[in-house]
Amino acid sequence: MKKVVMGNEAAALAAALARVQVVSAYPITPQTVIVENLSEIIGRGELKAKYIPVESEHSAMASCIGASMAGARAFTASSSQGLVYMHEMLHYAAGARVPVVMVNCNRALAPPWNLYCDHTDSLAQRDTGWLQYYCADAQDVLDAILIAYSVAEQALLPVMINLDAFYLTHTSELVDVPDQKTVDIFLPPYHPSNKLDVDDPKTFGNVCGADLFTSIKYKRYCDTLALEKLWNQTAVKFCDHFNRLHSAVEAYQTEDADVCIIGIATATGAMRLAVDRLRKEGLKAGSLRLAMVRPFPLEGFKKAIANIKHVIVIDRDVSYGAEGIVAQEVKAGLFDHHGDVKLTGFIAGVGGNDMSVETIVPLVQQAISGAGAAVEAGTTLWAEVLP
Amino acid sequence: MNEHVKQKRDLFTPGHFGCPGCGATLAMRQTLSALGEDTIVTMPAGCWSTLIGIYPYTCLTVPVISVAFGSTAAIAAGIKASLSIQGNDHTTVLAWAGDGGTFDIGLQALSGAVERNDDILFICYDNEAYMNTGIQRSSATPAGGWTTTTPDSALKGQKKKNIVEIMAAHGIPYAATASIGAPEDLNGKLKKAKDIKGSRFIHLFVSCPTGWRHAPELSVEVAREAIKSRVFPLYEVSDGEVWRLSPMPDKTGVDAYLKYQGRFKKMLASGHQHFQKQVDDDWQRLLNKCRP
Amino acid sequence: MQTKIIIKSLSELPTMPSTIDTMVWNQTGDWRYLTPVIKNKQAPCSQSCPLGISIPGYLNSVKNGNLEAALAMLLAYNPLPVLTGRLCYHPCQGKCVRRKIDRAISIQKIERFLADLGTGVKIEKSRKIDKRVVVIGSGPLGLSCAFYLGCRGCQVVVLDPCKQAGGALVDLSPEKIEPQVLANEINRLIRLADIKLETGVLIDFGTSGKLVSKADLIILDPTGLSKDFSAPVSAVAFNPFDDETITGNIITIKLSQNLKPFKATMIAHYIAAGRLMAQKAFDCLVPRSGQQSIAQPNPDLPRQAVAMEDIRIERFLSSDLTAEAEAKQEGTWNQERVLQEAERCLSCGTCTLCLQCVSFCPDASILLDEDTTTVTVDLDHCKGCGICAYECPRGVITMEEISP
Repeated sequence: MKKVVMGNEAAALAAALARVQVVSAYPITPQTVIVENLSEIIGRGELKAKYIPVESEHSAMASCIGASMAGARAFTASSSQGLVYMHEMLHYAAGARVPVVMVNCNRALAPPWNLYCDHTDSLAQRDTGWLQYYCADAQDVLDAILIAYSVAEQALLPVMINLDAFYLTHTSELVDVPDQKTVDIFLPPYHPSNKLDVDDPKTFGNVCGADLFTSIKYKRYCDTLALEKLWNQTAVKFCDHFNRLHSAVEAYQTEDADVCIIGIATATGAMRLAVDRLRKEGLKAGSLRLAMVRPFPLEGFKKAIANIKHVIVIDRDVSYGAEGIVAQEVKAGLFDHHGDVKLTGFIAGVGGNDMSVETIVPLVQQAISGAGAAVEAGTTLWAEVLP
Repeated sequence: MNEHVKQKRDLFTPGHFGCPGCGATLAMRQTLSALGEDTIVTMPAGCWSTLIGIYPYTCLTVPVISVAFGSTAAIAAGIKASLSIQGNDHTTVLAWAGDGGTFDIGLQALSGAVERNDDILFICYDNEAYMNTGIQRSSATPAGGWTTTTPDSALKGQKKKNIVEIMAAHGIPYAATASIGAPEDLNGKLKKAKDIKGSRFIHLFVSCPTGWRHAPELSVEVAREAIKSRVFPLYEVSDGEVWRLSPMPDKTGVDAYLKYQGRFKKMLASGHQHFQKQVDDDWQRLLNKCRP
Repeated sequence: MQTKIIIKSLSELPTMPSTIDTMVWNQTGDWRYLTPVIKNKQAPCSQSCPLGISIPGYLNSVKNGNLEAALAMLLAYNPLPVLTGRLCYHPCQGKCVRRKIDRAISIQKIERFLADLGTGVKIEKSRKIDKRVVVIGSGPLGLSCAFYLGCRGCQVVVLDPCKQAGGALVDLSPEKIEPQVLANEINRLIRLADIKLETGVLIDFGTSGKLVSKADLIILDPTGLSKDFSAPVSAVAFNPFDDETITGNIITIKLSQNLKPFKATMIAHYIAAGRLMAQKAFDCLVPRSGQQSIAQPNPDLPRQAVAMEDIRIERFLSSDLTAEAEAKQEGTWNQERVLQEAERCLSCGTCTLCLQCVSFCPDASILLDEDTTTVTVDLDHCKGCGICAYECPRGVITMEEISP
């Protein structure tokens, strides 16, 4: 069924289709529409779930963990300050191996206060072990959440689905809403074998000694690394039902390209338009969207940039004292080829600055020629800075 | 009171790392014996989360989740919602936190959960300091009590926070104080709380030989003296409005209670009339609140 | 001891960090330097009783309605309960712990009731042996001595120059003890022990050794005898409380000053003297018999006294402290009254399975052993904190250093 919805509404629809059983969230701009929609459909009885209006994000994640540990499918959503407030519990969720799915609306971190798109909030959580997926459009939001539950429940690891603040959360698009029956086939109910169960009592998460700690971490590490493959496999299954493929990476015209623009989330569309324009101007350009950023999708990445000579990464985030986080990740992915491939990193499109074709093309040109408006700082070039 | 003898399986087994004479372990044992095996426990960082056993072993045979410090009530709320949506409204969800995880870092989540009247039983086992990390003061430490962060040179001046008053202010169906020194009273209150729907809170006094510096065999005796002297009186509050005293032995002075414990040595040496007065004043305030 | 299950390979490791077993394999008993010892001890009342009667023991039988058993227990220690139930100064009541709570148990009233129950009871006796003993004097001391020797199989004859048996008891007023009651009690004793009693007999050591030759041992209690009576020269003075070895075969019992002259209230002491005398006489007649000591009729009863500071009034359960029984003390008590009163006994020093120790153990290491219905310590796990010992209201548990 086709519908015009905002990204947030698509997220709420997806949660309902996924038949989540416990929703626990704390409001924060620009996530609010998601939880408002969900509390309403739960209140109307359209979705059989419990809604817990918690008093903080830390408690929101805690409630989801508790709910999941007791055998229910749990959902929450947050953004920026709220996300970092629950940082402790993000580590906990991944360590406890609970398949919680959370929607995060990427918004700048204070101070100063700014409600617009910035990926630092979620990228700063990359060490927690959550699968992180960055949506390009509203359809992606809807579909990715469904895939996320399937992946999470197979791997017993939590998944974070990220939406750009306002560009995606509050922009209306046409989406194809899957029908409930088919979703139910793709995503059956959650029935974990290991859970808090009075008939099979265990203690979860108590103190662990040196003998087993490393092995537990190792096992989790290996399972996390395997998520790229698992996501792609599950995405294929999803595609079988719904005819849309959402892979961990999406390459655009990289097979014969010399230069590759790398970015995430809604910049995807603008990157492709930039590639088209640059090719018209004679540059062999391509773009790579990293849909999954954690675990770093090494397989897909390597394949896509196999012949690339110059990689241009545009970050809508920064790791202070280092560089753009996606650039850092890409560098790590390129380590074996560092002699052959040139990398230019940009920080752009934060705090309300749009990321359009007009933004991207000059950056690419600066990367190639060395002349342009972006200011050099460390190993990064910053756009939209005061002179 | 001796139901643990008759249960189908032992819910509490020996071999745990609790100090000899630990009041907190005794409290858990008494609690589980009253609540039974249809119980899920959440417990935050604190004495219990480390003494329960070393992975992959545990001393409790009910489901337990060992959680991050401030999150106890929230995790419990999530578990309860989960059970409920799956059609299970009979399992007791027990949030079992120490004074740190209740009065201090856990207060926000606790307030949130009880404000929503989430159907959980929250029990604070109060040994009046952060014992697990080495006896540092909490807002549950009494005035004049030595801890490593309120040493003799800088004893705690502030009174103990009144957590039951805070819970009563939320208007929850049931809040009460209980103690390992009054096991029949504790058992009765647990059985009562178990059958009430909504948020229930029990403030459970547990002695700590290690932190309070008393002989281990006196753990129950010290708790008993706390009741007698009204340092820790027993009472219940229903719906935040009706305050009721529980049966207690006649009131005595605080001397015996204080003298058992090394943590009050400095205060005893420099005079404790103010402490006695504070206890008497608080007792009178409580009497004023209680129905005749 | 449960063996520890060890995870050996990655595939055995649960994905979610959840436990696989309990901590029972962890022997926290190794932490301990004092061990709780559960041992029944002698109650304060029994400690003060000159006869060492296990008062909580027979009161417990009374509580259970088993009056015959209670009487049998009593008789094993006191062959003349009809007398003590009327005359004794009952030091037991003076030490009764219950007096600190409301009122001491009226032990003497109960004893009297049991004693008056009747003559149908039987007691255990050894088979007859070829040892003859003559006891001269049928006062409580002589009778008691004769009783115990008779129970051990000796052939005993009690001789008394007076027509009426009972020694100095005969002179007591009827309010203290009615002559018929006294006579019945003496008859019961004689029957139970299967011994002989001859009253109004001329005691003559001189003539052709009739007495001497027929007896292996002659025990003379001069307490009630007239001043004219002279013991034979060969008689050796013997204080059963002090002296150990009997020399010769004629002994004259010599008692300390506090027991002379005869005082009715001290009756239990005289009976005790008689029992002790019997013990020493038997040891002399049948050395190394290997039999149980007469002085301690029931070897299973505890000898170690419970310490008064170990009995803690506050620890008794409310169920132990039933409402104060009606204060009616006067007159003869009926069975209902006696049962009511026996209920008030706290069984100091004896475990009644109140299970306070079990309830208060932080380590679940002191347990009710379902098979043997006793309380035992799990030595593998007990950390020796001492709470059980401190909380036992009856002082049954003590903390002791025990080498491994």
